[in-house]
Order: sequence, then C-alpha cells, then structure tokens
Amino acid sequence: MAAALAAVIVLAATASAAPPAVTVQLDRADIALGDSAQLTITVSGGGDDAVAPPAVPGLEFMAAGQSSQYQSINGVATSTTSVTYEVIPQRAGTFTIPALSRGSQPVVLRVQPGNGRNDAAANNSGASSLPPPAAGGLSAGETRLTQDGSAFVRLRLPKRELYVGETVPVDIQIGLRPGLEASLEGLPTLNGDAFTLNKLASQPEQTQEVVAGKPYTVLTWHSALAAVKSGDFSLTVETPLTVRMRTVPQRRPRMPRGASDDSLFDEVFNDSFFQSFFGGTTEKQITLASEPEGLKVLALPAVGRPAGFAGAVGKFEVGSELSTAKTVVGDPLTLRLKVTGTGNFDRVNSTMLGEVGGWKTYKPTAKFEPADSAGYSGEKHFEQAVIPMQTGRQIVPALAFSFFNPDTRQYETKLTAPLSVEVSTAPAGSLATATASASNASPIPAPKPPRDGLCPDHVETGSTVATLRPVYFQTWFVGSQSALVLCFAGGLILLRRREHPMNDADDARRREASSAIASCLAEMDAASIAGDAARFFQCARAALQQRLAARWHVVPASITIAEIDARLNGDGAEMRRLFALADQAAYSGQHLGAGDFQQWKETVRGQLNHTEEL
Amino acid sequence: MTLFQTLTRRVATGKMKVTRKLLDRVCREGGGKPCSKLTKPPGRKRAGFTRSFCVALAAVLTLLIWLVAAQAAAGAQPRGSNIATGGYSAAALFNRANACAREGKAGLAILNYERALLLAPNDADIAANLHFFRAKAGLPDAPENWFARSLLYARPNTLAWLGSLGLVLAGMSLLLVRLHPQRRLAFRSSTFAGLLLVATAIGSAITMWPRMNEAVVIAHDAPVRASPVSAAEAAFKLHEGETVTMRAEHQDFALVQTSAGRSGWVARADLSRVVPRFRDRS
Repeated sequence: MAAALAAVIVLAATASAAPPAVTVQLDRADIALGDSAQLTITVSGGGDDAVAPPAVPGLEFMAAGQSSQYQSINGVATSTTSVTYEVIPQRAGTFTIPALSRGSQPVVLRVQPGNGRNDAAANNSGASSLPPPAAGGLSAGETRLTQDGSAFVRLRLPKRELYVGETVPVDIQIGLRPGLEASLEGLPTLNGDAFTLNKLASQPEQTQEVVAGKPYTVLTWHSALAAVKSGDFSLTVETPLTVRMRTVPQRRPRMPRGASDDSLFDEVFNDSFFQSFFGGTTEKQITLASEPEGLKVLALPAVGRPAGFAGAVGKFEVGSELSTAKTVVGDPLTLRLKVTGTGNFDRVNSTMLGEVGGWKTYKPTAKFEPADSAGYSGEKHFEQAVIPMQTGRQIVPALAFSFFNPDTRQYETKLTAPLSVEVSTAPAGSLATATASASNASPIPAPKPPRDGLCPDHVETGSTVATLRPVYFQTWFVGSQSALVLCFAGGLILLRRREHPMNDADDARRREASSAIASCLAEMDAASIAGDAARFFQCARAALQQRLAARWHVVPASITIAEIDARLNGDGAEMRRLFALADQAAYSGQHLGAGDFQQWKETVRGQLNHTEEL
Repeated sequence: MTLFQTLTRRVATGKMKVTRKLLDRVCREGGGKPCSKLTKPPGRKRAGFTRSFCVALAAVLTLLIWLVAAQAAAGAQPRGSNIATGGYSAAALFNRANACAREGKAGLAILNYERALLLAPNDADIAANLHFFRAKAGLPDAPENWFARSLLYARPNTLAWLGSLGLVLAGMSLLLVRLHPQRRLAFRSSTFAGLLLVATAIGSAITMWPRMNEAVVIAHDAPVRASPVSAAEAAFKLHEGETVTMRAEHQDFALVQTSAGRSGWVARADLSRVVPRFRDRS
C-alpha cells in the first residue's frame, strides 16, 4: 500500500509538468426527453480541473463512474482520468455542453420531445403522482417519493373491490434514480393481514420510467394478491433499502503554484483519484412504503352456491378428453379435465369421475401450468385413471366444475361434454384380459399401473404369522377340529340312543332270542345224533317260542298252540304240528330215523325264517 | 281281521309305533274311552344323560377346544416378529421381493412374491408384480381354475377359522334340533350354513395342498440330474424363478417335477420351498 502510494505520488509529480488534454464525448447526440445520454470527460496528462461537469441549464449531470490510467514509457509518465456522467435533460431542446479546457470542443445534445409516456411524465413535472393506467390494466395510486426524490415504491392494483378468495394480479414497483447506488435488504412485503401475496421473484423486471419529470429505474415484481377475509382494509407495501449516494467532494480552490510550501502535497491529494479513493459516497438505510390503498373485500354470497363449489373464484373454462376412443375391457384409460382461465387456481379442484356403473375409477391427480409468473392465469390439468368394465359403447358422463365469477357476481357451473369410448372384449391371454377377469371373478382390484415395472413398496407391514403353512395344515388345528367332531358325534349318538329306548329294548330282546334259538338249534343237532326225538322236538318248540315271543313281546312260555292260532289266524299249521309233535314225543316216546331228524330240522329252520319275516 | 288285530300285528312287526293317537283309536274301536293317561311304553332304564345334558356337554367341550386352539394360534404368532425373527407378513415379503427384483435376483423375488401371495392372495400389487416379473423372466403364470380363483376371496387362515366356526355351528345345530324340534327349520338352515363353511375350508385346503410342496429355483440355471448324486450328468436345466413341485428328498437333492411334467433331481441348495418347513425356514 505504501509502495503504491509512493509510486502514485511520483507519477503525479512528473505528470504535473505536462499540459493536460481534456476531451468531452457524448455517446449520442440525439435523445428523447426522458432518456439519458452518457457524457465521458477524459483528462490526459495531468490537471483535472476540467473533470467537474459544466453547468448547463436544462441538463442535469449525475456522476456514473470514474476510471484512471497511469502509464510510464521510457521514464515519461502519463495519466488519464475518465469520468462518466449521466446527462438527463429536463426539457426538450438543443443543449451545448461547453468546452472544458483549451483545445477541447463543445458538444451538442439535441433532446426530442419523446413518446407519449414521457410527454405525460414531462407534463406532469412537479407532481408526485403517476399516470393511472398502465400495462396490464393495473392502476396505481399516489406515488410516494422519498424526501430527496431518489426512490419510491408503489402498488398497482386492477380494482379496489374484491371477494374473499379472489386473486388479482398486482405489480409492486420500486423506482430508483439513475446513479443512485442502492441495494434491497429484502423483498417487498405487504402490510395487512387480510391479504396474501404470492411468492415474489428474486429477479424483478427492470425498466426505465419518468416520474415527476425525472427518470427512474423501476424494479417491478408481478405477483397475485388474494383476499382472505371480508371487510374494509388499507394495504401498503414496504421495502427496506440501503442507499449509497455518490457525492462530489467540496474541493479547496487550487492555490497558485508556489504560494504554499506544501504544493506537492496539494498536487497529489487534490487529485480526483485520491478523492474518490478516500470517500465520496454516503450510505443510508431507509424503508420505502407505498401510499395506503383502500380495498373492500366482500364475502362470497351464500345464495346459489353449487354443491360442488370448492372455493374457486375467477373466470374459468373447462374441457375434457379421453386418452383413446377405442379400448378393451380392463385396459386403463386416462380421463383428462382441463380448467383454463384466471383466478385462484390453488382452489380449483375436481373429484373427476366418481362411482359410476361400468367404470372402475382411481383418485385423480392435478397439475397446474401457470401462464404468468404470478400464477394468476394458466391451465390446471386433472388426470384420472379409469377402467371400463363392460363392453360396448360406454359413456363417460359430463364433468362439472363450479366457481364464482366476480365480474358477474354469480356462481357458475361449467360442464364438459360427455365422452364416449368403444370398449371391446380383450383378446385371450392379454394383460387386459387378466385384469378384467381378475376384477370380475375375484375381489382383487385391477392392478395399479406399475411404475418402473414394479408397484411400490408397502408402507404398512401388517400382521405377522409364525409360519406360511395355513392353519388347516397344522397339527394343533387339525387336532382341535377332530376333537370338535368327536364331541359333536358323541353328543349325537347319546341323544339318539336316549330318544329310542324302545328300539333298544327290542334289539336286546331280539339278541337274547337269537342267542337262545342258536343254543336250541345246537341242542337239536345233539338230540338228532343221539336219536332222542323227545328232546329234539322240545328244543324245536323252544326255538320257535323264543322267536315268536321276541316278535310278539311276550314271554316264551306263553306261546302255545292256542296263542299261535289266535295270533296267526290259522296260518301256522307247521308250527302247530311241531308243537303237537313236541307234546306227543314227550309223552309217547316217538322214535325217528336219521332222515326224519334231518327233515324236521329243515322244517324248523324254515319256520324260524318264516317267523322272522312276519 | 279286526282293527285291533291288524294294528297289533303291525305294531308287533315293527311297522307301526305305539302312539297316544293309535291307542285312542283302538280304544274307540273297542267302545271304550280314549286313553287319557297313557304312559310311554316301558323301555330299558338308562341312567345318566338327558338331552339337555348332552347339548350342554357338547357346548362346554366345544368352548374348551376353541380356547385351546386359540391359545395354540396365539403361541404360533409371535408379537412384533418379522422375517428375521421367524415371523412373516405379506407387506414385508412384498417389500423384500421388490428389493430382490431391483437387485436382479429373479428367483428370490418370485419366491417372496409367492410367499406374500400366500398371506394376501387378494393383494393386487403382489399379483401385478409377480405377473410382471414372471413375464420379464419369460416364465408363464401358474394356471388356475375357477375354483382356485374363487378361493382367493379370503386368506387360507381366514377360511380355516371360518370352517372351524362352521363346524361348531353345524354340530351345535344338530344337537339343538333334538332339543327343540319345533325349530327344526332354523336349525337345519344353520346346519347347512355351517357345513357350507366347512366345505369351503376343506376346498381351500385341497387347493392349497399342492402348494405345500412347491419350490422356486433360486439358482441361475440349476442342473437337473437323473440321480441324486453330483456326478450324475445333467439332463436339463431349470431357469431361475421357475416353480417346481418337490416329490421326494434324498440327502442334498430333491426330486422335482416341472410344470411341463419333466422330473429329475436338483440340489436342494438351488431350491427354496414356497412354504418352508419349520426346520428349514429361510
């Protein structure tokens, strides 16, 4: 730093000996009122008295920048200083910027009246208001300038009466005088809790504008303002700003050379380089606020509100379409609904197609494509996957969208045109067939269209089981069910036996009779071998008595010839004969041959079988 | 033959039962008064059970058996368990299958999809991914008849418990109809409903039984040999993800049959059962 300073001092000392050459240059000779030209004053070879801009009535000079160049060639040092000014005409006409030193030429600047906007601005010179109408139909209220007139902020609104939920485009503008070095300490903010403002862009639009006869660099943010509650409100916009003003230092009048001992010091430190190096700007933090805007927010009318109204306020048009006009059963289609217009698109919503017979529907998705940076106008697209479940010409019903139109101050409902699609039977083996058949024949819903080939993971883990083997293949389950079956079977058997005691007694009686008959037959065989006719016939009679007693539910001893006659009504001749032979053999001692025994045994067996069939 | 004789003969031959109505008719035929105090024909005295007692006993036993079964079921389902600790859930299996699919492990992916489908047969995502991945691997979907498809209305375990419920319903109805014969129609209807549930569960079990022996090839091109030895020559190869039926096991080999009917021995390490056994749970 010290070395550089010493070098500069030496160079300045050597340069002071050469006569300075001053050139003045304008970047253009003709400008329109409201525009500005650039004036460059270049001083070469020392002295810088001419660097200060001349005073020209009707022109304003604003310092815009300065550059210095020092050059040493073969020990000869030269310095060149260029100062740039923004020349701002105050009125139309021809202006002559005089020569600044010997050898320099004056320059002429012609200022044309300019365009209407600037004319209006010029005619409005001295007033602090902006022309109300501007691009986009927005109007601005009073423009409040800072005290020194170097900046302003204003809010441009299309109207002063809004409905709750209504969104209107707004422009927030900050104007800065050229040459004013300022930095925003933040984006403009609303001062009012009844409104919300869409997010502002970090890079505002930059234009030039004349306000109160002075040009301003205007930063404009295009956004949308939404009213959130009804009532009368005052709205302002505030912006924190840091301003650095470049100031031309007050110089001491140059003293004649040799009048002071420190002439060399003055030569050096009165140089513009050092003056700009050691200062020349002031920094100030200010908060710009716009003029309060009175706004009236009305509540949405309750009368005539449609059932499907979801809060959309604005002007919209709707249209719908299907992804295809021909499809097969089970093949998913895409139903699209497009809502275009201006308004609060964040409240534009639609349930699309609900539960409709013949269609399987899924939850729709929405996507908004703004047409402007504020999101005030654009298109909102709704897409819904629908699957036809029946063949033939299927109709997708009209879709309805309701909103409130603030211009007509009425609710409106727009309907799309019904759409038709030709649904044919899916070819065998296709995925659509599998989908449709699965949807028809089983409770499995139609498979969701896999993304990247696979359906996404499940979030819920669900219940767990210890084994994949179904319970009906597990031992404990089979055992318990078997025990249940045995339990019920046992109960049933017990009940049946309890309900039929008579049948049980008969069975027992028959079993006893059969046992006795078997023993009698065995004894008959023994008697026939022994040739004992009396014993043979007694056993035969006993067998018949057992059988008949079991059938007639009487005691065997009560079966006599008279009983047989009475019960069989004369049908039992063989039995009567056997009973008679038994009595006769017991008392007379009848003898029979082997063949007779065999014949009588067959007779007895035949009678037993006969009585079994009675 | 008089009416008395005729009736007596029919009763004696077991063709007609002695009822109060019959006895009244006989008495009127004989000119007497109707039998007003006819008692039941004397039968063999049976000590112990009455009808109410039988039904109550069956109900108590049923309740006990259900309690035991429920405790067994609760013991078979460890709370908060996961695959690593021995529990299975359809979602976890599905997510695991997706992970394997993304890693390109076709065999493990299909295996876990199949397992997930066992627990949640009506899950569309599982079915879609299994179908998609099978198609991607060039494997055909397993053929299913209408009966098997109709059984996808519920999980096998759900059907099993419904069948058990149906068994109780049918059994209790059969017992109660003896106790309250005047409500015969209602009890027979519930018996039918219970038997229908039992039949559904049995049908589900019959349908599921072949799947108990199914396995998925988890190795890339698993060789199928004619005999269960490593030195045997490979007759053909199984593709990864293919589902086969295990017929027998011998040491480290399993006798498998493909859906096309071809059989052979495959190393058990190349296979994984869809329904793992308790001892080889993976």
